[in-house]
Amino acid sequence: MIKRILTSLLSLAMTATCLAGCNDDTKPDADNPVTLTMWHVYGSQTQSPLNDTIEEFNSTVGKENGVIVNVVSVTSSSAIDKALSASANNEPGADNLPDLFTAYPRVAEIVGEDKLLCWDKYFSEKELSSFKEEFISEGYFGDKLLMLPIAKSSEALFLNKTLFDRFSADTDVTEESLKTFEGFFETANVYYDWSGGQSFTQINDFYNYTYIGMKAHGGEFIKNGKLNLDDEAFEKVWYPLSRAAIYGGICLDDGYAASRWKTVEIISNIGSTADILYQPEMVFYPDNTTESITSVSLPYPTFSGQKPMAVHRGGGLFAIKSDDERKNYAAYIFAKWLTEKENNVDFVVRAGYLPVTGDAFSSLISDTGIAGKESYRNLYDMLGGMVTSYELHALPLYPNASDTQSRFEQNVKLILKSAHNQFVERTANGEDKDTVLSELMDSSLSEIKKLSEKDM
Amino acid sequence: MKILKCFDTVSLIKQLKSEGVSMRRRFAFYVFSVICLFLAVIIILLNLFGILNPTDRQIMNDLDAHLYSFSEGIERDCDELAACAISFSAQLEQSIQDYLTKNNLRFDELKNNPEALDSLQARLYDSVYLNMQVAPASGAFYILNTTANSNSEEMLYNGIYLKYINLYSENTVNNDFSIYRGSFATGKSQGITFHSGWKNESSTTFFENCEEIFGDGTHYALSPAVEIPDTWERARYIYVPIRDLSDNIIGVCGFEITDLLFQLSHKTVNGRWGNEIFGLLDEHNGSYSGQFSSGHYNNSDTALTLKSKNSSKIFDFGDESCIGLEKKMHLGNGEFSVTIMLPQAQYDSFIRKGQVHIMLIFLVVALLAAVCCIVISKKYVSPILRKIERVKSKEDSGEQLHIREIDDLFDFLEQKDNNYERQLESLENEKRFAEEEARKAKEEYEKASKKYELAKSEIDSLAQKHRDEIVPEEYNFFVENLGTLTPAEYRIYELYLSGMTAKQIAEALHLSENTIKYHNKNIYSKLGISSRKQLLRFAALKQHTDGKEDWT
Repeated sequence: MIKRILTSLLSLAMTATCLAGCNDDTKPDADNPVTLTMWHVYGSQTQSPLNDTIEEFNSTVGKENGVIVNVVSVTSSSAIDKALSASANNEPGADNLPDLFTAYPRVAEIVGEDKLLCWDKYFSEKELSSFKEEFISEGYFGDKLLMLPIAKSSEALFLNKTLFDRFSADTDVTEESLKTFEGFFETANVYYDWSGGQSFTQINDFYNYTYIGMKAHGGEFIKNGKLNLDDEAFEKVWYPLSRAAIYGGICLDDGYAASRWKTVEIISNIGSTADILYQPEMVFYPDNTTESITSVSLPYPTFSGQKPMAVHRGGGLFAIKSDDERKNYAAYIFAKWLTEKENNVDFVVRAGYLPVTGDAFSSLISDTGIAGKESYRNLYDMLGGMVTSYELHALPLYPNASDTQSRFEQNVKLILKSAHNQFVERTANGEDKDTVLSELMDSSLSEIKKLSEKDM
Repeated sequence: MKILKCFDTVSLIKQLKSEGVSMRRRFAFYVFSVICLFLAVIIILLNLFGILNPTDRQIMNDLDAHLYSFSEGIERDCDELAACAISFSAQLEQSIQDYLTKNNLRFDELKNNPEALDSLQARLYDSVYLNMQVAPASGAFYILNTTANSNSEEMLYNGIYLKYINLYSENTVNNDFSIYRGSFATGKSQGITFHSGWKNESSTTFFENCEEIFGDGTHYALSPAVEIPDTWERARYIYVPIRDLSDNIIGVCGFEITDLLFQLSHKTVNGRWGNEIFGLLDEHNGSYSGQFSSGHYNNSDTALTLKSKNSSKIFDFGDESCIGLEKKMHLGNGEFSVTIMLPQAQYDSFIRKGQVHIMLIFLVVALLAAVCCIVISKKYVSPILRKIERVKSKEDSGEQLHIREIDDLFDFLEQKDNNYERQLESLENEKRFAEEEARKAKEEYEKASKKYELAKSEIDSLAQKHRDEIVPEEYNFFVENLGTLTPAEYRIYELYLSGMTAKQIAEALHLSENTIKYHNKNIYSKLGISSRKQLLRFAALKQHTDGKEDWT
């Protein structure tokens, strides 16, 4: 009998021990949730669609699985690059690296590939195969998938139609002129004259413009991991740009295009399709009066006679590899949920992006009505046309790509702004506009080549 | 299967009933039961006093310590911001006064005077910018009780409101910033980014209760957390009045603390008990709102209510709840609640784990107790068993066990055993005597039997002789008429047969001899006899004959 009692007690003790130790240390659970901090770029100062999407996740799947995504910062990609660099290098005043962040592939080098979570360890092959090949391939670093696409964009031309129509009525310029870069730059200069010295547009990324322009002309902007400005194709993209910029049609100041839209410093800009988030519905004039405006999204201009091309941009989701496997798995749960068709479409259409899985992509392009607001439907109708008739190219990744890109942007602005100032000064002094323009275009070409060589 | 077998209690009880329980097992069971009972009582008592579930106490102790630290931090931050705001206000008051004096304007002359207001903004911009850089805030502002356009549909107030953008750490130094409120000219002249939600002037409720708030010497005011118009953000404001030379409040200035900055400054602690979420709340008609260290709770749509549970608080967010502690604090012009909380599910999980650990400890103690009981019972009972074995095998030398009760028992048993032995011996003697007596009696019996046989044969021969002497017809007449005797006669007849004389019969029946003689005469006549001798002979023959018939 004693043996039996002992056996019973022992069995109970073992069962209780098993129950006590049954917690799976590799997965989060609702009783012991894991909080993931996140920095992302999907939002403006007025609205943040990803925050809303994350709240939905937190209150549904996140709650069931014990995952809380806590958005700590909604910022710009360049600010995230800077912040990640500061955090990764433990700079004074910098915060710890977040558990999740969205950024361009270039940050892998800044943060360190070894610190990043390999998504392919968590996603099954079947799950990975549902992503659009051109989107997911951008996230591979060697054989490791470090950046998971969650939303992609291309570039488009946004136009303040209300003010453009007013300008168009006074001139011969129509929207048709904006289909090519040649027409676009010409329009910028006409507008500059018409408006009494206001810039027509802002190009958010001269790097992207140059990359696509040279590719369309059969050239190669990046060669062996370096800028290739000696290519003949570079001149073909530089001259039309510099002509408009030196004349004054293109804004060369730093800062957001949306701010300039609001104060009518510009009436158009070329940038990410996600810029639609920032498009104001009202503009303010210096005399404290306001005016409601209508905006339209137009396809990325092409180069006359060349194949239509545009970049596909938009970073992806990175996760910092944690010693706590529960955090890694929690990141996977969130990433999987976010890239599921319904959730992904719901998120991207509110932010002006494209979904990342084949299924979701086709579903959105075939029914742009789900985009809701008219301006968004207009954007997706336009994008539907672009994805079928344009070649979309991802920016190349190479060592120090981030630095190279930002230095090129600064150099272009610096050189062209200086040239513009000279142009204004010299023409005010009575010099011939065309002669000065031609001279400054050549000198600016030499300067950009020289500065870029110096940087390399 | 084996476990199931172990739990087959019915068969176990049956077996125990049929086999009986050994003393050792009984002893072990009793001791084990006592230990378990004792443990159960301890558990119940400890539970009642809240000592047993140390998890709950430890959690609350830790939360209390962290809440204390957090509340100190909140008070320090508010004091620091308030000090900055007071200094900021003093700078603005001086600058405004200088401007008005220099331009020969009164404050009320600024209304509907956009040029003057723009010019004033240009003068005050640096103060706003520098104070924003100095203070641990996400934005800085001043708002004057005047407007560039009093014809506007909504009440507008002129001023500058700068906000950081791209905040990612509590350190705001060198962060990009934008103009959120302020004139177009100010934004342009300073070359700063316009916020996506930028407007010229503010519509605000700051001035509604300004006199009341700052009338009683309150140094600063801390607003509830409110949504910032035209943005997705929420913020609290620490603000102080801007006064003119007559001490009238002409504006307010202060700092913005967005939910994001609050989160960055007071991070959710991922401590021993999981995520500990801090909050700074204010109460309105029983429901709470405010800022939390986790954005998840800042974005909760449902009204938060607090319920007391023992010494802790339940934070009910509608679709989920948390448990934690609350501490009331006076900050600025009002009372606020600083809180710390854990998600309820997370708390419950730790409590459950604690309970499982206690159960495990109980089981381990019970297991150890069972083993101890077995060992102790064996050790305790084994001398008795050895003694019993010795007693059984009659090798016991009367050695004492030095267990008083058992020694007494064995002494008693020995004494009883001796008594039994003596009784047995006496009984055996009695038996031997009885056997001797029986043997003698048997011999006597055999002798008597022989005599009896002899007498019987003599009687038989005598009877035969009498039979031979008796006339059969007379005897038959005697037998046949014996039934004709009256009861009195038959009684006398019997007494004759018993050997009594007539005189003795008369005495026995209290009759006279004559009466006896009378009866004798009737008896003789009826039985056809002539003498007592003949009567006795016939009676003896009849008895002999009747006896033989009985024997046959």
